[in-house]
Order: sequence, then C-alpha cells, then structure tokens
Amino acid sequence: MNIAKIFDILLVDDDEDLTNLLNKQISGSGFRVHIEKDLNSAKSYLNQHIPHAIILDINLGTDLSWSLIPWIREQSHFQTTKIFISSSDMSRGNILKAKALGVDELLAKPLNAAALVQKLKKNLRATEAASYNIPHPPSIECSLYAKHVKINEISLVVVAPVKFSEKTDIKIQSDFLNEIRLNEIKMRTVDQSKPASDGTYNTEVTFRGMTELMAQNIRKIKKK
Amino acid sequence: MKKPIVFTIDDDVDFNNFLKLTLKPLDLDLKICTTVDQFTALMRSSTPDLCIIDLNLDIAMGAGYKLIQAIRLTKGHDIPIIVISRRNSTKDISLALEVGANDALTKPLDPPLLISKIKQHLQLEGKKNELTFYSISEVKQECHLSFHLHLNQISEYGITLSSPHLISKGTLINLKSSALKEILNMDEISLMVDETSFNTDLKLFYAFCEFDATKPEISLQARQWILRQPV
Repeated sequence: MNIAKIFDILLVDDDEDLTNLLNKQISGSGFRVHIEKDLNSAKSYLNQHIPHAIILDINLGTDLSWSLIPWIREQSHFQTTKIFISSSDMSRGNILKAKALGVDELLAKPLNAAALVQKLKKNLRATEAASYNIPHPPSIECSLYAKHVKINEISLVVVAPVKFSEKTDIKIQSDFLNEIRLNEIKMRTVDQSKPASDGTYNTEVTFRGMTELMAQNIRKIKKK
Repeated sequence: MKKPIVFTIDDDVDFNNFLKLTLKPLDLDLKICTTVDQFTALMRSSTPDLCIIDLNLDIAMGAGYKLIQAIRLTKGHDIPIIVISRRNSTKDISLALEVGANDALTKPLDPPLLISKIKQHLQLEGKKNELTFYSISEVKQECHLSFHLHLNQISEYGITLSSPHLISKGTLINLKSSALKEILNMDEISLMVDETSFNTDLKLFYAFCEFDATKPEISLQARQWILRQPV
C-alpha cells in the first residue's frame, strides 16, 4: 500500500487574516494549502481538483456552508476526502448536524494551527495515495541524453543510461547526424547492450536503409 | 557446418555476377533468381536464412514490395530481408522497411558494406562488423536517444513505466504521449527515474518516476484524473 506523502488542503474561509496565518503555519508540514473565500469559488475549485481534506467555515457571511457538504458527499470521487468544519458555535445542534452529514471533524474557532495539524495528521495518516493501473498500457515515447562515440557505414555505437535487452527500433537525433544527413535514417539496436561505466551501457545501433550519399558522408569523417 | 542459405532476386545479369563474386568469401549457399516465378518456386520448396530482393524488377511496378509482403505472410518475420534499390531513393527504402524489409542498400553496391550487412543479419561468427569505426569528436558526441515504453500505472506522486529494457536510476527522461495530454493535461513531461524493478515472469523492467514536488499542480491533476476513473 502506498501511503500519501503530501496532502492538498482546501481552506474555505472569508477571514483573510486567519487564512493567511494558517497557510503560513501549516504549509510545508506535509500540507499544501489552497484558499477560497466563498462557496461559489470553492465549488469552482472542487470541480477541477480533489483535495485530501476540506476545512470549511460554516458561517461564510450570509452563505449557508452546510449545503456544500451533501454536494461534496454525492460525488463518488470525493469519497476519500476528509471534511472538517470550523465554527464558533459548538452547540449540540451543530454537532449533531455535522455528524448526520458525515463531517469528519468539528473544529472550534478561533482555530489553533497546532491543533489543526494534529487533527489533519490523525485523519489523513492512513490515507492511501490515489493510484490507477491502466488496463491497456498505452505506448509512450521516451527520450534521454546519450553520446554516440563512433560510427561506420552500417552502424554506430551509443553510450546511454539504458540497457537494451533485445533488438529495438530507436531514434537518435543530434547536430552531428544532421550534418551528415543521417537524422532521418531508421535505426535498430543490434545486440544486447554491454555495461560501460556508472550506470551507462554501450549499444551498437545499425542503420536501416543506407544510401550511397549517406555512406559517403560517413567516410568523410577522417579521424579514426 | 551447414552453409547459410541466401536467396536473391534481380533481373540484372551483371549485378548477379557481381553478387556471386562479392559473396564468394562468405561461403554461402547462394541461390540467384532472375524472375519472380523462380523466386516464389524456391520459397515454396525451402526456407532461406536471408533474402536479397531488388526493388526495381522489370516485371511490374512494386513487384519487390509484393514479394516482401508475401514472404512475411507465408514465412513470418524471422528471415532477414535486405532490399536493393536505385541510388538515393529514400522513399523506396522507407516503404520497403514499412512493408517488412529489415534493411536496404542502394546501387552501386559497396562490397565491404554489403558483406558487413550480410554478416550482421546472418549473425555469422567472427568479426561481424568488419568496417572500420571512425571516432566521433567529443564535442559532437551529444545526442538524444528515443524509444517506446508503456505507461502502466499512475499515482498522485508519479508514474510507472514498463519496458524490456532497463533505464538506470537517476536518469532524466522526457516523455511524450497523447495519454499524458489526457491524464496530466501536458503534451510532454520530464521526470527522473526514481526506482526500478524487474518482473521475472513477464521479463519486464518497471521504472517509477516521481513528479516534481515543486510543481504541485501535476500531483493535483493526476489525483483529479485518477479519482474520476471507473473503479
């Protein structure tokens, strides 16, 4: 199981002084904080992002923050998102309402950063990192830095941090190959790569489709 | 030891004589055909170790390509096919490789080049590559090497790639794919290979590449995509 390492927190509160202070105090302790000031902007943010936890001021001006909670809970992709609500009213009515809506923590205002971090860590401790095994793994082009060290009319030798285990079609691009008009030629690795040094490997790469002009360009390289 | 069997087809008599002379030192069992009928009859009765096919047979346009396709259909992909074409005809060569040829050379053929290519494809013992290597000046050695892998898993902290080839830990790789556009809303991304492992049953290497922690938007985008996938 892969445990999540850095948590994204959405803080919904219109008290700028409070949110700036909390942001400073809890960011960097394994948390990344994003702040929204009202319900509508919080909803816009949540339409694009899925934070690990939401800290919601239940008394946002004249907005009714309670309505956001069922909106969140109805969407299956938020099922692992923790919801904390903050309020200066810790009446029994509020506590019962919070529990009924599936809120994870009810925090008394004024918020204390240390207490908040502790609550976040407690609730998020065993959160698995979201992951997805792609059912039909798509092909992806990978390119990396290498060095081509020698060349003849049918192949070249490249030193790279990749060990080819079987014949593979590859592409090599460089200013040098461009100069000798070989940038477009098809290439294939010949044998298994052999260790060079420090995690790099020597691979012989054959040219497929050598023209007379290309061969002449290679022969112009005098240095042996 | 059995001699390697090589079938060739070219309607140019002079070229066929040149081929016989040039390839004599390799001690091959060389069967030279001048017509498509001869060649196909030979292919029906036996299987060569290598074929050399002229792309510009007089009989019909594209006869050479059709022969390549027929060999691949009936005999599979194990027989190396070298095509011979006119001078500097890169389009012909590209098409030949696309339809199944392994390699191509242009006329007039250079004997050492031809011999080296045949030895390479037949994996003949001894020094396969007889041609002298020329050193490339150090200031011109830098290049970029590209190949394909598969994207197996994505997590909110990184991606896992699979390949028959090992990429060393700590290597910076640049990845490009339409799948990346869909998942991360990026055409390409540069990542470091953080961990590698090997699956002995599948004979595949897995490379885990972590997202740049200084770019939280990537993790957020990945998480967003993952949690919206069907369970």
